Amino acid sequence: MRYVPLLVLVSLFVFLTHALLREQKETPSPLLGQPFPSLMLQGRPVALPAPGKVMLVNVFASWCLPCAAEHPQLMELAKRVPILGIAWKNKPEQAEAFLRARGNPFVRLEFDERGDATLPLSLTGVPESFLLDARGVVMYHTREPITPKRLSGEIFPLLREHGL
Amino acid sequence: MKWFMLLVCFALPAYALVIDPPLPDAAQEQRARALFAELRCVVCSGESVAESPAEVAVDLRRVVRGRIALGATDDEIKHELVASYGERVLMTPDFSRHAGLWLAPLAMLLAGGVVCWRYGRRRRL
Repeated sequence: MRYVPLLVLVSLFVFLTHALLREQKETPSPLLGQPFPSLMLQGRPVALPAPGKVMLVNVFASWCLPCAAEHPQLMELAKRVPILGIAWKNKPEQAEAFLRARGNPFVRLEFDERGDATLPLSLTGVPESFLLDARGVVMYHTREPITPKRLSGEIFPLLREHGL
Repeated sequence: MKWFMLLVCFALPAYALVIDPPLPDAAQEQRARALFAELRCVVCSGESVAESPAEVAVDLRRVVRGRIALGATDDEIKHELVASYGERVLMTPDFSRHAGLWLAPLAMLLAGGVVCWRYGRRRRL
């Protein structure tokens, strides 16, 4: 009975610490289950390059190290789905040089030098990737680089579900 | 050179706000800055959009200034940002949706008071 207050305090501490640490995980994506938003980049509307097909949208930048790390996985993915690349806060010539050096996995490349895609795509940084189903609805959104583990554990199973 | 380095040390913290252009209308700029302080920089947990040098915060500041210049109200802007990033983009959670969160400290204080009162009574007996 003497230890009840201490016990209460300790359990409260554990609960609050847990809640605090949990809060620091990724921001949830409000885009899941929603149609991919229409974007205006560099003053032009962006059309999806492969309407009616499952496709990937990848937001990257040449100055972003994790983007370079996920690049081989994008090259791998490009064999199975069309990928739209968006170079975020990047000079076009720098983004193009990045792709020349590492290979180009994109069926189309769009530029967003100012960061106009940030709000509509709920971006928190680069890289971020979106998998769209054949209707153009977002079925997967990651705010992390596509590691080989994420590729085989999350993305490939989703593609298989869609017969790819 | 030593003095220059010293100066540079003091100059860095101001950097984040200096790089984005303010609104020409002073009253509107004031509103924008008040709003920045109420928005969380979603990648830097605990920092507001007003004080963060992160790329996302730069974009959110530009969006907020743009919307204010177009005549949007603070609530409209907040709604748009919540739609994009979820409620955690707001520094203060909405009372009607999170009444439990707001009332929890009060409830704890009350519970503590009750415990103190009962313990205090027992000791006197």
